[in-house]
Amino acid sequence: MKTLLEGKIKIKAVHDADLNSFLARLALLDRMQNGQLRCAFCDCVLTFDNFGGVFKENGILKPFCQKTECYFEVLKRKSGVKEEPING
Amino acid sequence: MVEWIKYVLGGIIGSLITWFFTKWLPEHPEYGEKFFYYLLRLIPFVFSWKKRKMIEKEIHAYITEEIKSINNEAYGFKLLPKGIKVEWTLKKKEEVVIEENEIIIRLGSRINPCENFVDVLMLYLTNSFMTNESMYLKPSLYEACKFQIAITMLRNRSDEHYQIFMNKYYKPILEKYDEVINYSEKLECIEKSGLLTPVFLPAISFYTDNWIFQRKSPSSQIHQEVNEFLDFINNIATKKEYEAEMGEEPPSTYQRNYLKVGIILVARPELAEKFEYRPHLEAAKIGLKQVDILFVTGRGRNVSLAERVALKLREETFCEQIDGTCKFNFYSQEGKKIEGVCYVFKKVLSQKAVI
Repeated sequence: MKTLLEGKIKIKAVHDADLNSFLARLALLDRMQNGQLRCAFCDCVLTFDNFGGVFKENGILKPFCQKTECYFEVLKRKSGVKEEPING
Repeated sequence: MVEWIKYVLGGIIGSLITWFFTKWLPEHPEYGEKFFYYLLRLIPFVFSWKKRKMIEKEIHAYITEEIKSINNEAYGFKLLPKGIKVEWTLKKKEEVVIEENEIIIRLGSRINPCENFVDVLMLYLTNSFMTNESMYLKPSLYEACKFQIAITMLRNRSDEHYQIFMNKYYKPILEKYDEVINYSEKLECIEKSGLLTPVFLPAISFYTDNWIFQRKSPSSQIHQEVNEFLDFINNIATKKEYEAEMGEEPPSTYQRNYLKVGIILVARPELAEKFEYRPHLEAAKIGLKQVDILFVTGRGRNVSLAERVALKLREETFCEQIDGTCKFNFYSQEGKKIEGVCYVFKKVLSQKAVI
């Protein structure tokens, strides 16, 4: 039996070539150029080389770097995975 | 005909371009500067568009193919219920809107381009892998299953992709989360012996559908039984080691309060032919008395035997087959690729008394 899929997961992405204008439109470009933009998870200074993406949580934009731990942290928050099991 | 039109069109466009450069442009030098200005701006745009398309195409084509293959292996249980689409956020003169809980990841010319693929795969699995089932699994078991499915999806890709995934995600995460490593070791054995997508995950999906229908909330007892069920499948996956340690075959049925699953590993064709498959049918009949679903699987030279046993079982009234055949490949300890088939049958309740 062929399985019909229930719609598609949209993976939103920004390409390297558009990174400048993307950051400018989010008003993050100046902060990055001044070395003031930091990773929301490991607090490292974000540059054009290590910028990994942006995540929005509680209405706040959270930029993150390309480190695995930081990306994994974003994925964990996105999936709502909590360490404790549900009711007994 | 189409080829002929292509040649004519190519000829017309070619001569127009030649005329433009050799005749029109030298006659209108005032437009030359403007023309080259736009041409120089167009070149990087075309290149970046092409790069974007390449990334998009690679991700879409490969992951979609794997999604279909995994869902088909799982008898139509939607382990990965959704497809994938890469959407580039920045379009000309458009506001960038990021919604709550939304991620925008950076893709492009990384040091290693395989990272693009692996990052998207992980984001996709976070959004789509067994979304309903996740609440009935312990979070660390769910994470381990997600990683194992990623490994399954990457098995047919280049070794580079696999290595990127292992070094960037798998190893660092396993080092950090002790509980995930325990599950991952078992899931790896299960996957290698071809029991992950054909047996373990579809069984969880089967029960999840029932539990959701019965409005059964996740509980620590369900979590516990799922964990024990994992051990049960792992014992079958590591049959030889189990037999060496325990001095007997691993049990072929798992029966607790919530999960009741049986597996028949079809073997011994000489016995089947001599007694017209009666031993196997009897085993299935007895198995289905105790369990809700029964998997009938055969590997290597036993594939055709499993097919014949399934054919006989289809004629019986005490059970009903769920979907068609699951054909899968698994790897021996020496790394040899072996084919396998699996069928799943559920008990027909109205016939319970007859059995």
